Amino acid sequence: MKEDNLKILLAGEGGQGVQVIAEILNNTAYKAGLESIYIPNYGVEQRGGVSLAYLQLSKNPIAYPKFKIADILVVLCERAINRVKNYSNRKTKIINGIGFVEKVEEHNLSPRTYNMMILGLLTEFLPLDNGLVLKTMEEKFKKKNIPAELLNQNKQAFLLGRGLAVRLPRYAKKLASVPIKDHRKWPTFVKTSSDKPKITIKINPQYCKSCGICIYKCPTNALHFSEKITGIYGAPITEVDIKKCIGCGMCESVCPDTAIEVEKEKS
Amino acid sequence: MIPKCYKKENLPHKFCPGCGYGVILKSLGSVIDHLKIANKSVIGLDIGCGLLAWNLFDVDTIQTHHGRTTPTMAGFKFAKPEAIVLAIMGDGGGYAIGLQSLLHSAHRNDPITVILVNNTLYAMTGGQMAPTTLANEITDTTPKGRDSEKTGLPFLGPEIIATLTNKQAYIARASIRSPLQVESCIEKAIKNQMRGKGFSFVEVLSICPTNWKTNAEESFKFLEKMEDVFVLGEIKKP
Ligand SMILES: Cc1ncc(C[n+]2csc(CCOP(=O)(O)OP(=O)(O)O)c2C)c(N)n1
Ligand code: SF4
Ligand code: SF4
Ligand code: SF4
Repeated sequence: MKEDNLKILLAGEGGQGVQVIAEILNNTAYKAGLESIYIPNYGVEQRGGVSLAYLQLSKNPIAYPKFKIADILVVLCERAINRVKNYSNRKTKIINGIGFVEKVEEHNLSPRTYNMMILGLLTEFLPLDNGLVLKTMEEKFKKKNIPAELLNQNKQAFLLGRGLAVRLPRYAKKLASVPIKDHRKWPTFVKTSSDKPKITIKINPQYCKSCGICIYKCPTNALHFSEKITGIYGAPITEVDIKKCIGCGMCESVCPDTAIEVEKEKS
Repeated sequence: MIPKCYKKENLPHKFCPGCGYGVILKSLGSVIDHLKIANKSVIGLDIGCGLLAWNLFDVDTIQTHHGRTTPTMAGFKFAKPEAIVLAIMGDGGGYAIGLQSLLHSAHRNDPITVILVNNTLYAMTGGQMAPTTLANEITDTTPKGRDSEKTGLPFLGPEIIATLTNKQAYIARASIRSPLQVESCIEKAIKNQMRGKGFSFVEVLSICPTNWKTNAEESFKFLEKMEDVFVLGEIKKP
């Protein structure tokens, strides 16, 4: 390791999985015989704040888990930029994951594997062995009984991230030059039934926090979580199977976030 | 539908995924729309998760000390009788630190509307026991479950307030399991204030998935348990 103590700060939406990235790296470093400390910042991310993970890898004992300036700063969402910009100086290497959000989906991987792609990418900049990181990740997911298919997708995302690291310099600009505007377009998903009376369901991913209440409350099991599309917190939004929908309006009435609307044509 | 009186630019709001507050505030929003009172109303928010609603409505809001929302809003009403004042608080704010303020306001028959959100614990501070915590319920401060021998049984607010108020009072308990019922009770409570005299009070049983550590199904199962202890309905009507 060039630096004796490498300070890494990760910042993203609650639900994007920055804590998992830090945990895996922390465990890997321990296995590799390094000193390491990881401390999550449990702020109000569940209420829409930004989730932070402080990680340090060192050859020498580490005195204090937090730090003021990061050597590597990883930002995974626009809102994180304002939150963490004071943690960087001219020497800080900035990994802007925002530019890669769509990459996993382009490669037909579940959006949930985004953090493992970032893990692969970040590992390229750390004094840790890739294979060991991958092994630690596998162990962690197996303990959590993650289905084999998703584990496989996570591994692929990791490898994808490694490949992207080569192209990173293009993205490693100063924080100030990272666009703060929300890059994500927020289309409303509209589905209309073909039978009469016509029922229209509109789902707004910008508001959907993936709480699952509408799914639980729907009397005909017409709703399920999307496999592909994620909402404001990076978690799957609700999707409707319009053929099963009877237009009762229950989902709209119970959604705490006004994310779903039902229109039923008067017959 | 998004209530017209919501400030759309501030959505999504800051409540946790699946928080019952979202349903209650949406119901309040439809009542404000329906009665067309957005520019006449003022909402007082207690310290607690409810204060996350400070910029949700295109309605004036006041934020005051923990438990003191009732007297602050009563004071506002005395100064501006034409205003429609709504005090929103949690069960900790209303039934613990602010109980004395709430009881005296009810006892004076202050013509204000109080909406109290009962999620059986202190949510904003991480889920400690509140007066409303169910017997044997596990919270941060009752890791082995609430021992009702030592700490009492869940506090029945509306029932107690009903005994203090005069005949002009409107007192009810609703549950977010039925958002329409919540809406109807809030509407009647506000109309009671608009008519003039009485104290109006609605306790709403809510869910707090974050502190309960529950998913959607478990949250609603727990809400059912609450409804066994806290009986729903209109307890007093003018
Ligand atoms: C005078 C005072 N005491 C204590 C606190 C700390 N405090 C902040 S929120 C809160 C509890 C809120 O719980 P509740 O009223 O039940 O509302 P909820 O968050 O559940 O909606 C407490 C005790 C405070 N802000 N002020
Ligand atoms: S309108 Fe009723 S049937 Fe249709 S998705 Fe919503 S809850 Fe289900
Ligand atoms: S549409 Fe609403 S109720 Fe359904 S998961 Fe999204 S936020 Fe929750
Ligand atoms: S802590 Fe509970 S009451 Fe507070 S916003 Fe989150 S879910 Fe709602």
